[in-house]
Amino acid sequence: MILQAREVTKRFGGLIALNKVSFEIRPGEILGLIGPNGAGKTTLFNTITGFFTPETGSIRLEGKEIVGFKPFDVCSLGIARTFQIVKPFAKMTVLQNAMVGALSRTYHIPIARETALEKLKFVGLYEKRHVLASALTISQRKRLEIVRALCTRPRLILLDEAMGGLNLTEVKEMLLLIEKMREAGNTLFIIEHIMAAIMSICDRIIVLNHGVKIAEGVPKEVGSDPQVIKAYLGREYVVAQNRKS
Amino acid sequence: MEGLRRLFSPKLILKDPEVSLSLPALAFWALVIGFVRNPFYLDVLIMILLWAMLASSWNIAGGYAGMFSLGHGAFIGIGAYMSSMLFIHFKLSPWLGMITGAVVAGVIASCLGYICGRLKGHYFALATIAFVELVNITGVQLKELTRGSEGLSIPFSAGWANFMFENKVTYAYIGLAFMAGFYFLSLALERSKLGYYLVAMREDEDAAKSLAINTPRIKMVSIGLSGFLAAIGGTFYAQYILFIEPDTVLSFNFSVQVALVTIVGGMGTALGPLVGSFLLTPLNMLLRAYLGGSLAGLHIVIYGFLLIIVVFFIPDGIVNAIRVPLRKYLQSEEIG
Repeated sequence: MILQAREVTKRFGGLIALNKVSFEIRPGEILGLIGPNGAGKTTLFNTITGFFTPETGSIRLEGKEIVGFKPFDVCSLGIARTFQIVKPFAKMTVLQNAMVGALSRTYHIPIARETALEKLKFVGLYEKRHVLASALTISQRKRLEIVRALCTRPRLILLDEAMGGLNLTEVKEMLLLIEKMREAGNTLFIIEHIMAAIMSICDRIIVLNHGVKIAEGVPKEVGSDPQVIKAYLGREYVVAQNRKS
Repeated sequence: MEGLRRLFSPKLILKDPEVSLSLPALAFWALVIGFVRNPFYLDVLIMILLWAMLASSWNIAGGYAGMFSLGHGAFIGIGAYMSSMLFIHFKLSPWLGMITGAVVAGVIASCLGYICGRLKGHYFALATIAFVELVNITGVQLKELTRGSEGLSIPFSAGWANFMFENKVTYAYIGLAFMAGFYFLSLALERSKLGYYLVAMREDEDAAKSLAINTPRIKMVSIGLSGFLAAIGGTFYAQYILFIEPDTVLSFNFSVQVALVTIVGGMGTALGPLVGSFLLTPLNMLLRAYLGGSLAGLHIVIYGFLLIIVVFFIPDGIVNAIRVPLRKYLQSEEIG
């Protein structure tokens, strides 16, 4: 197991944002995380990466307990993430943005530059390397988030809505990139709202609703789970699926 | 020789003019100092170098790391008072006093960074204002040591060991050496891992944290280094003016001026504080010299008005206003 979460509970005052959530991530897989708005998806990401500390429960990265670790320590241990609302270092160039990620594994600027250039080629931002991050389009910014994460050489990457706000062509490109990341040996945990995308790419999916895990399984099982349809997918989704098949 | 040739190759001069042109520029200023005879203009030159030093030190926290301090007067004052008090009370050479003051200011600045580091933007600035007021009051109240608001006169006795000189030219060369040191330190920082991390933190703290950057620690390091250098500038001020009082070196006004010089020149660039000082310091001094007598306060009005214009039209500072389009041009030419 890359990651094992056991009974993770996170409260905000009276609100239980995560209620005894347990799951695990296997090496090399793409695990999807879906659920309606406010279900606790991003809270779960923030809890794994150390931005929030859960009240109870344990999260283990390759057997090592990481609850209570700060975000920068979690990243050093090997979990990288992207943000739903992209956070580029606006006044740095694309290359410098990537180098910041790569510097987590080295002190040498030339080595960091090499890693960064290699990963920029991988995600398709190499041509834009000298452009300021503030000049990028939204789909390029999403790639920038990914390239920074890749540069930290993570054991596990969390993608928070890497396809949110993209048009159809861009979504397809992003799907290809995620597929490419998997082929390169990365393990991914992704939040996504675009059902067609997540159903096609994930090995397994877990579903959150009001902080509770209501389903887990391969995409087909989850897509036909009555609880998931009621809480999130809606009847229209089922009708559309039936019409397709 | 190979190194020198590479340093002055046309390609590098275009790509990194700051590094390749800094040595000739310094040599030029050294020559200028040698030729100036008029004591007033020499004074202007020394003050330019002093303010460039102070602004450079501020720039490390305020410019690169985005920790907008309006309390650097505290660190400058600690440096000025430490070396002066150690000299007066214990006959310690101001050179050693300077190091002592810098270490003390650096440690205090780091503590401030630890306590106030979690405050963001304006709240951090407010906390630093409170801090400089606190140190100011302490300076006024500790009368046995600092002579309070009367100010502290440093008894003049020329000599290298005492960091005091008959000739202003010597001060100018020492100031130039210090300024060059601060400038090269900033350049080195800019090109180091810490430099990348400071800018990343300034641009987005959460993203920085998620990329393994220990932001609380680098905040302490950057403001500590900034305070350390500011205190060195403070000692230089004390040794040149030979009189310090809480209302100058330990004041909010002094702190604002340090920040202002950097803002006009260009925050987060090694050259910005120097450019800012080369413009603002003579402007300030000449306005005061020529208008100060005729109509009280007129020079401040004009100075303030010019500042508003500069900040309004080039909010990123002069260096950034020139460098960003220049970089774009160079990259379009495929030099970068």
